[in-house]
Amino acid sequence: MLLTVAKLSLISRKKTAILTFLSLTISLLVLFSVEHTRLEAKNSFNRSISGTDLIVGAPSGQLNLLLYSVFRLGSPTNNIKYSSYELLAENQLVDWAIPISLGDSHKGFRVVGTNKSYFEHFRYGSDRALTIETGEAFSGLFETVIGADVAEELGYKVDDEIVIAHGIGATSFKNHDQAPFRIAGVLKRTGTPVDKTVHVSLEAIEAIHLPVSKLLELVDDPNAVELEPATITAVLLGLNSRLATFRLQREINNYPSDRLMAVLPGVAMTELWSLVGTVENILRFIAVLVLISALFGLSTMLLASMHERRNEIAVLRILGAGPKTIVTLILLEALLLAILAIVSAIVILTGALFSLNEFLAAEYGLFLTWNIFTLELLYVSLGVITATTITAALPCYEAYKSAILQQLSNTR
Amino acid sequence: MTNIAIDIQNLHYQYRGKNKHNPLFHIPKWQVEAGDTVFLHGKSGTGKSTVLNLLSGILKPLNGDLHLLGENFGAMKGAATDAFRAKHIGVVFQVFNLIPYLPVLKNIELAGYFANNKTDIESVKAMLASLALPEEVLMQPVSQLSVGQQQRVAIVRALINSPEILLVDEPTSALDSSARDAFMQVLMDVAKRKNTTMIFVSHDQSLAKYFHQSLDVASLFAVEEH
Repeated sequence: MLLTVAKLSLISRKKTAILTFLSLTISLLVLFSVEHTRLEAKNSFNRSISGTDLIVGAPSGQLNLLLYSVFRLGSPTNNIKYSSYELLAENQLVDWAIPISLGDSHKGFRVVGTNKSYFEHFRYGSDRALTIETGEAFSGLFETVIGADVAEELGYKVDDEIVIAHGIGATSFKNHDQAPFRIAGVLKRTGTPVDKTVHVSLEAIEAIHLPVSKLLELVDDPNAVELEPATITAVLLGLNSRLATFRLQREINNYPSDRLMAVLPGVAMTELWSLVGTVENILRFIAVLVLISALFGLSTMLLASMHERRNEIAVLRILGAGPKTIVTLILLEALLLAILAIVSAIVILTGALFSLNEFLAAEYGLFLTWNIFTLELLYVSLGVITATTITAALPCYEAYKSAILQQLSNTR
Repeated sequence: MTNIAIDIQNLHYQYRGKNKHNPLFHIPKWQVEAGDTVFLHGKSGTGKSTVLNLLSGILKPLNGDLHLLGENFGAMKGAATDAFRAKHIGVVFQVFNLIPYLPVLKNIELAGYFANNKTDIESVKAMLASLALPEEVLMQPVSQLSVGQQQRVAIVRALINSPEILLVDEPTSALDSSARDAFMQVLMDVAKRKNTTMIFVSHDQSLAKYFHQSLDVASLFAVEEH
């Protein structure tokens, strides 16, 4: 009954109620989106690499090395010698070593030159290995394994032939179309930058940089040219014992015959996240401010209605409603609006994420699940309801006072 | 079982406030028998509203006894007062008796809700008919009704819980004279049928003829020396 009265009371003040509802919904939408994006970003960020103890590359900043070796962002400043990789791979502290050679692209997707150890040892998420969805790892020179996004967005499947270009633009003037690559396998989706990568062998990277005449010889006879890579971009290392990490890092940094730098992925990730995290916190702060202003709007609406509701309160009192009932009624109205706004914000956000999912992934590389129901969302919602109760306290107090002081003679 | 509906003994009341010279009201003794209808008249400022506010429990006596239906109403706590009022007292004001955004039926049901009674739709319809109101008004918002219709709905609302006591405060001041006579007729009929004790406050002496007794409000009060 009280709920019906609260509902009809809100409906009778349609215009202000709708405006308050809209401002609440929009502010909650901002808050929920920021929270969701923050969690998703952190999640997919931390999923990107796992199990790697050291990343080795040419000396630059540790962020730079992390960005290009793991996130395929930016360009490597310098290369390291292939012989350094061989030495590292043979080091007795090292369990496995994955070479990475960057610098080429296919229709905007980065091409990574590597070897079979990549498919064996690379880990993401919580120690999950890469699995090949269809086909198999590359074995021949002109074979490639592509990530799930590459396959999906470009519509590729196993045995299709693709052309790999030098440089990293979407279109390149120097397409190596005399030597197409056969797709040997498609990787299962990982939700990491691996999905957007075209993997080929280190030898293939050398091959596509050969002069055209030599390249054509190779197409006829894969053994026509010696394809020992001279340089690679980075090495991912897994160690036998984590305890040796710092020792090996020091050794690598002081390596005499090549200029090398080794970074701990965890440390670099934390540094990177602290940069991103500040922006995230600012967004969060702004979202909370927007919510607070909307809640003040709610409080103002209820307060403004108090004067015209003196008669109504008198009637309710006369019918036998205690001051507590009057307060409950006002609180119910505020909570009704807040809960409606929370539900609408959740529905709108879910709907928007659901329909914009592919667009965001394709245009911005943002992978946001449309499932926003996390424990965080529950906490935020409960927080909003608590905040609503607090902001409704002032109108409630006004109502209480007015209910106490109400007399029959005041009703005219 | 007493047949005294209202029993006031040696009651004092003073409005609290900054003004120290608020008058002290003192009612030495006033009894109204169950089923009696009392016309309470007097000039404004003589305490008519104070009496109604005390009888409805909106104001609490400073000291002295206020018994309603044999119960010590004056000594009841807030929640008990509200519950007693919901169950046993019906009130009709001069204007603004109804919550404007609720339909008529909801307004009537609200009275039942606070008295923990299930509203019987048939008795509502019967009362509407006796007050010459069409049934269609039940679903209409109060704001669409004329003032006269609103006042009649207010009577239905006030009587729906079959209260033993009905307090009425200048209900006809917004009505023209023909509407007023019709209103008074149905009010008295309904009260008589339900054997309701009625206190009717007005300054319009011409209405006194409808009531068992007519009382100048000033005669209730004893003159107090400060």
